Amino acid sequence: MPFTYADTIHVAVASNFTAAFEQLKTQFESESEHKLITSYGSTGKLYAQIVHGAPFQIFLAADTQSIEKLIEQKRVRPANHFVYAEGQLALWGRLIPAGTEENNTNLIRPLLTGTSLKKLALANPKTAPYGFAAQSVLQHLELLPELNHKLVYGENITQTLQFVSTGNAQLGFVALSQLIAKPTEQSPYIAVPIEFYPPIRQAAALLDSAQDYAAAVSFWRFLQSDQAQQIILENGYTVATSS
Amino acid sequence: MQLSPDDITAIFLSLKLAGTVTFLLLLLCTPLAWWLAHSTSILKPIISAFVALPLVLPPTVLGFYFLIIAGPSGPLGSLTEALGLGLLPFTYWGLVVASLFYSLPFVVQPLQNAFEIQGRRPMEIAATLGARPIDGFFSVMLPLCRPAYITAATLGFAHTLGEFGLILMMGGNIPGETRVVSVQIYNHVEALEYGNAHSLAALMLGFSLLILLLLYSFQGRKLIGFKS
Repeated sequence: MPFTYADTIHVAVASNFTAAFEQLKTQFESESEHKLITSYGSTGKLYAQIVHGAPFQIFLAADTQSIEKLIEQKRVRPANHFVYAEGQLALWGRLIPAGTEENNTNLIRPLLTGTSLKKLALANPKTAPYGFAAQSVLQHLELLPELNHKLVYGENITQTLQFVSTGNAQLGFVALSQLIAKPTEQSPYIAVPIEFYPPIRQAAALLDSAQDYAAAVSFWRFLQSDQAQQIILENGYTVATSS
Repeated sequence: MQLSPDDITAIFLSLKLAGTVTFLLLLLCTPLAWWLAHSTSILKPIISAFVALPLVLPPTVLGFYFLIIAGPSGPLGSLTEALGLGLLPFTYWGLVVASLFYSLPFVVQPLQNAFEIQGRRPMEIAATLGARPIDGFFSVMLPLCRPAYITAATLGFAHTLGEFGLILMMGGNIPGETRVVSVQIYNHVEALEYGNAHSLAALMLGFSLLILLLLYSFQGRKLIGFKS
């Protein structure tokens, strides 16, 4: 099919990447005739949908494991995947004093051990990569046993943000990208030092079923362009080192 | 059957929640259903509409507003904090309060129907025999409406047991506190642990079917009894 025809491309995107993806989509659609149809959700759910035949052509996961599983199942060729972003974790919530700089990491421990903290929100460590990273931070700081009874779990990173933005949790570990994306949430936050948690590598895959589909391939190339990487950087991710 | 200790905890939590909510709903809904059955107030359609809301609203709407209303800036949140109770979201009692609203129509409506069908007559006869209203209610009305109470209790229990979206929105997935069976099944599916998900889901399906079977066979017998 000649690429001059307007085709639609179905993309499955991990929910933490929503804001960055919207910008990528706008950029791509302004340069191309093709249209993107996006489904946002947790990586586990999108993975299950792909395995059960959902018509996605490109999958942007929040981890690398789900893409590796798709490779094992021969749904993705090894050459057709790459790490498109590395996520960063931020501590955010009403307990962070006004005017706190994002690099004021000395505050992390006193904030977490303070008595004003009743509920600390994180994404479910078992299913959400940002949740696993948040749990690793608590282990790194050796605060996990002490804080265990204060932890509340969002089913994904978006719900975790909601727990904090409604004030029901006084602090939460969210994705830095979410805070950058939402001007309404521009209250102070602290970027968690990357030494505190294993890297949150987010991998993308071009599914085998789509590898001869010109429109999907053109978006796949766009994703790897410097222009796309620049947009990803601006959204609070570090651009990936290779996996 | 693959059931982990976490699964067992979730099962007991679900049963405890459904039991507590059913008990409280029967207490609260008796006067409410009585009032709805007999009132001619202009408030009646408004109250009826509010009672029926959970039937039509998606649980996500209820959960979303619960987080706002019961949060620190919301009216319910300010009240519970002023009373020294803390905030309701992410607590067992928060689930109880949210479920009271969520399962309300399933308990109110059978009771209201029964009270309407019985009418004022039984209470009037009891009064002519010298019974005070409260006495008349407990010794005449309640036995007459027993089938409706069983229906209300069963539906309230089963519906609370099957609650998912609302708890996912405001529960915070805390083991032993807010992680009920439906949420635990969801966790298993999300973690691709389909075996565990299967065991719990099958258990839930079997149990819910059993409850409803018991209810409908009981109702079938009762209806025949009424006709003869």
